[in-house]
Amino acid sequence: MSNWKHTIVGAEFEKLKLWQREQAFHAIVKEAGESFDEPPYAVVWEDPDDIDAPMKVTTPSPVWWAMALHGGILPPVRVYHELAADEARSDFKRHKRGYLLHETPPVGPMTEEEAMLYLIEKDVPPRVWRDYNGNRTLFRVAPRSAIPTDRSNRNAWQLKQEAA
Amino acid sequence: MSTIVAQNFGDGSGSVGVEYIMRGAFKAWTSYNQTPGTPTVRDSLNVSSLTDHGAGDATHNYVNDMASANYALIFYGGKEISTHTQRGQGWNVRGAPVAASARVVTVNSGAGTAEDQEHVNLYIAGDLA
Repeated sequence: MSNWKHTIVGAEFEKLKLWQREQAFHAIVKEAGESFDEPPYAVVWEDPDDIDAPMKVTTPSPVWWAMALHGGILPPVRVYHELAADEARSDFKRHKRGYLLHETPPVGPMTEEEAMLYLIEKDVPPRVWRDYNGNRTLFRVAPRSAIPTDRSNRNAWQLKQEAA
Repeated sequence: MSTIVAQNFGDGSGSVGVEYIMRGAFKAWTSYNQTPGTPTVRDSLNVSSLTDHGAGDATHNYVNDMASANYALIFYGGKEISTHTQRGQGWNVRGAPVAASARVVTVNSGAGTAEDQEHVNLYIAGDLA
């Protein structure tokens, strides 16, 4: 384990605001001469509200991926859902509960599987992973190596459906 | 890690408040390549993921939400035509709603057609939640 990993732990670090925790993490990793690895997975998904649209591919950023696996930085994903609910209100002007991002105790280290599930719940619309009741497969977690490299027909990509 | 506590920064002849500097700083940025099969994020700050919707079309999702949808955006793409040459590309924001948690952007070829680019850069300024 690299020495920097011992630096980014503890109650003092968790008192920082979320954006401060990310900035500190970013700086400490780079000052240690390390780089952020490309995440090995992506989420491929279709929007049930626009089924003719091309398949979407959601890729975690390398910094976010490293923070998720490290632990002690990201808030529980339910915090994002609470802010999204606030923003969906017709009278929403500006977030007033940003403190939820900063003051809710961060989650611990995630496995790769847990990190991808967290990312789906955070960055893929709930109508894809929670609310859909139809028969189509709307999303999968895929290794990046399984995603086509030729983008010449990118706008024709569709998620392959399992045989009935 | 050390923290410098100050209310103002100055050069002796004048000063500005820390809040002024903080509010003017970029709150998110990313550099990515949308030409591989799966877009590659070279580096970023405050970006949890990139959703590739199709040619030249992507959503940037934030780690720390913005305070509202009223924030500023600088966004551009460049394409390598030869080993050392790039040309700037036109850009536009698709007609999708802008949210405090994400922003949808589209890079076009300058002729109005969405197009993947090797060097796409995004900067966001505004208030964080």
